[in-house]
Amino acid sequence: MLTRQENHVDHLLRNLAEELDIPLSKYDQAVNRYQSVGSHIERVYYPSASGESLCYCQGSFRLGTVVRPIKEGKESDYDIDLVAQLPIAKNKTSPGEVKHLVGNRLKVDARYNRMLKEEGKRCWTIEYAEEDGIGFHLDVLPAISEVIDIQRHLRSLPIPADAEKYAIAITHKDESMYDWRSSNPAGYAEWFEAINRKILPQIDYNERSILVEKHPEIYARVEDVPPMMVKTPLQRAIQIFKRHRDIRFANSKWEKDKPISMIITTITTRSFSGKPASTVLETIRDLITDLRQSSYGGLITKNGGGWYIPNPVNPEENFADKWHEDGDKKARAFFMWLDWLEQDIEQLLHVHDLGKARVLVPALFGDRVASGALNKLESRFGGSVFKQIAHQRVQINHKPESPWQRG
Amino acid sequence: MDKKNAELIKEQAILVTNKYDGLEFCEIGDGLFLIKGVLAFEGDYEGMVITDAFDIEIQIPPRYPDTLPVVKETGYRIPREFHTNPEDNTLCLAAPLAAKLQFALDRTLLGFIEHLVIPFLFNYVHLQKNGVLPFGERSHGAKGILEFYSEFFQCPDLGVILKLLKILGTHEYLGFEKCPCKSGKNLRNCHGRQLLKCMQLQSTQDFMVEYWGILRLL
Repeated sequence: MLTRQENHVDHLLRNLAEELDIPLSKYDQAVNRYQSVGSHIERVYYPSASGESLCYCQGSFRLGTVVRPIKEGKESDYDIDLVAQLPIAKNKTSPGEVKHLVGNRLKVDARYNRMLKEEGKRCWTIEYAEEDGIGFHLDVLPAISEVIDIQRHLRSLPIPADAEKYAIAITHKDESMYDWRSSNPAGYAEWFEAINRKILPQIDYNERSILVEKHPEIYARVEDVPPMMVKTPLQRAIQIFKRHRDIRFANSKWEKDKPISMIITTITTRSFSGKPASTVLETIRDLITDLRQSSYGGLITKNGGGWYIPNPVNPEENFADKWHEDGDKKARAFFMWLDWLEQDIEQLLHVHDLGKARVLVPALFGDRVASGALNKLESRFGGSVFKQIAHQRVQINHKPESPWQRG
Repeated sequence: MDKKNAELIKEQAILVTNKYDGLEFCEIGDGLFLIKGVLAFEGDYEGMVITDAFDIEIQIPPRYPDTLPVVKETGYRIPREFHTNPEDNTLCLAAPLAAKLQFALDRTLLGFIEHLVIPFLFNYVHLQKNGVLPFGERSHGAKGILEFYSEFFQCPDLGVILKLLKILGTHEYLGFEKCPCKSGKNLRNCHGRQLLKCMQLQSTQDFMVEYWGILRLL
């Protein structure tokens, strides 16, 4: 059970994650944007195609771990990732062709053409400016279904059942050469969701009650709250980690070696899978505990001169394949981030003054997000948040009444 | 609310805020009073000591002390499934009459906190730390109320309890009649004493609601 101080810190972390997340109105706007692009792509016939095109969202939008990015020290536009999967067999096409079929389809629309950035290594990026100044970068990733042989091979590896069915072949451009690469964002999302769901029975009712209390203008009863609004401690912890990392590495010489989101998301999820916790604070502490063990809790493997963090839906893909380079630079950056994380959480647990929190928290998570989170905390708990109060001794002389509940 | 009542509430509240540093007393409207903040206690029950602090809000109703205050835990440490009213998130400290009987022994805000609120919190923390509720818990709804009456009247017989409740619900108290519990004694020398105490604390309507609730369990 959390102590009162730990509970306040947990609430602070939840509030921070809420501030980092995409607000509901922007989320609706984002869905609108990517669904329009999706229908635009899905609507036409492509040469050698057999079947329907499928556009679906992946990455943090799919997982529910969106965090407002920081670029050049300032909060910037949201990133949305959309897979554009065309129903063309691998042997009937080439990576360059697939890439340009999607690109050309986008360019056909004058609006998208105007907003399209220069061709990327794997995607086409559409930049949306919005009236409120908070825009989106929509990365459209052209892909086709992966061939049966590769799917069969994946099935022989230790991956979740049926994950290989979602495997896709994506394109990669190097200078003017196009290559195939393998990926499986939908399989990864399924893996994540299966683990994320584990904690729901324990927290669902309570979380919805809290949402009803916080937003009486939107929800009348617990049943009115849509399932996607319930965020788990796993999702919140990942959001906290990403922002904490962004701030800590901003403008430092280690910036380009900072831990990638795939690694943070994967190891946090694997740690959570072993011991699902019902609070953000415990989820964070459990990850730190795991990583401090002698074999990193099985989350990271060091073998020979290299490091190994497998993609759970394709163990042949190693997220840490570049960690050993340059004298283990990325590995060192990761453990440096872990040290910072541990110290910063300890600091928060020893803050006993809202004034001090107002200095510490922005430095760790950014000004806007910190002030929003602390204001919410203060209005919930009053000025006594974080304060240590002397305990009064009370003798309970006879056996008290048992608690009861109406319905 | 009349001035005298408001004065009584303020007097009692001062005793609370003087003792419990983290709690503050405020008036939020005409005649509506709150005590809120941090309740930090070190509870000792038969040598079992639980030290903790909770963010709470106690609402004092206009008809206090004839109506009991209600309390919410505002720190979200206690999950809503644990003895909390879904309509207003107030804590269900005990079966209604049980709470009133307890409060009757010390009709002060300090008494409410120390004999009802703190034991509830003590019970919950003990459960979290040691896996067990030292003060037990009642079943939900009418079943819980039946459990209470069973213990209170020291009588497991459903039929007897219903008869006693009927008397409470209609005020048809005839002291010279034989007690429904079949002890052979007159009502006034048997369960009558308890009935008289109860009748002062709850309306006939409240008792009839409990009567029908228990009847429906059959």
